[in-house]
Amino acid sequence: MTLAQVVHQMSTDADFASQLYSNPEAALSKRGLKISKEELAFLLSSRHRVEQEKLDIVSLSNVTNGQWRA
Amino acid sequence: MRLGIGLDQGDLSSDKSLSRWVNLPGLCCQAAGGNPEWADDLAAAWVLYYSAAHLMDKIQDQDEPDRWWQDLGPGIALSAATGLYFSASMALNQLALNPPANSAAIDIVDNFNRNLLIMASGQYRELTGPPQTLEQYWARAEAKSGIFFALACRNGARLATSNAGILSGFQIFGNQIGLLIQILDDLEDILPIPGAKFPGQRKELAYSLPTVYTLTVSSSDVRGQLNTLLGSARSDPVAAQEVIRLINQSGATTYVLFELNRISQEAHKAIHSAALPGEACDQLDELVNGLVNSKPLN
Repeated sequence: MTLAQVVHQMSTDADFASQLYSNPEAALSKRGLKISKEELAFLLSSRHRVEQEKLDIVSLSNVTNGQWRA
Repeated sequence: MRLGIGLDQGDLSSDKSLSRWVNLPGLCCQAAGGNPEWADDLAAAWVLYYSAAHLMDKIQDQDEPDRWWQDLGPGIALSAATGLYFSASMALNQLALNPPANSAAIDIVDNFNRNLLIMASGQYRELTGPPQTLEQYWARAEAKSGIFFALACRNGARLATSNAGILSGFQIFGNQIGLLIQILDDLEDILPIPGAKFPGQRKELAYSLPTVYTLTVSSSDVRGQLNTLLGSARSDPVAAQEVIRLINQSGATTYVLFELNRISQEAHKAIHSAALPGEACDQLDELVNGLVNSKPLN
């Protein structure tokens, strides 16, 4: 649940998202949130891709559509 | 929440995906030090159990019938599913007839029965409505897809070894594959119904990971709004578009990407902890890579 809360916060609070990139430990502890370093690395890379490629849930679904059957 | 490995058309011979997954028990047997042919009966049983469960699932969910039972009704489909269950049991019993599989047969049959019971309980939970929290979502995903793929991997390996640590690694690997497939299947539920213009109108969307994530992290107001919209989205394109907007606004795309990456890494770790290095292990790695090989996922 904590991880999901972090994702939600970084998606709805631009300041938090910015702090998470620059000083993740401080950003998380300030809000009483805790995730592992590995989770943080996956999270930041996932977020980076979403922003860089302007992905939304429909475009992601189009990209992955049928690939596990192919 | 469906469990799908691509047999939706009820036509096994034309489905390319079947050949991809039917080899899973044999590959796991080989990766654990055995001969892939030892797993032939196991693979047959696994596919037959899948076909039976998939058919029962369609009847329970009152999905669009397959062509072959469209005119005959769900009674005939139920009868066929029952036959498939018994056929699967017979295939599994074949393990007891031939060495070296016979030494593991009792354990494998027991493992199948216990886990199929857990799958049945997961099926029961579907009748109580869509999950409202991520905790409920993951419990259901494991009880359906995770366990089913873990059956193929753990028991394929069991034909080659009885080492509990190694079997646990194969079981975790299979579980992660099942979860990855479930998430990718969920994403398809976002897309428009064939012939329709707008995404967000499929009834399965309420059971999907992006939706359940949004319900879990949102305020009670948004949660209530989303549940109401999900109820009308099937017949109301405006409501469907609002559903998609709320899902996007919550950060669901980032969360889904995160989970796909995390679970695929867990799968790689599990198989490398359990499998012997070699061709079979490489092919199992590739199966995971194939699930998450699209540009935004790697």
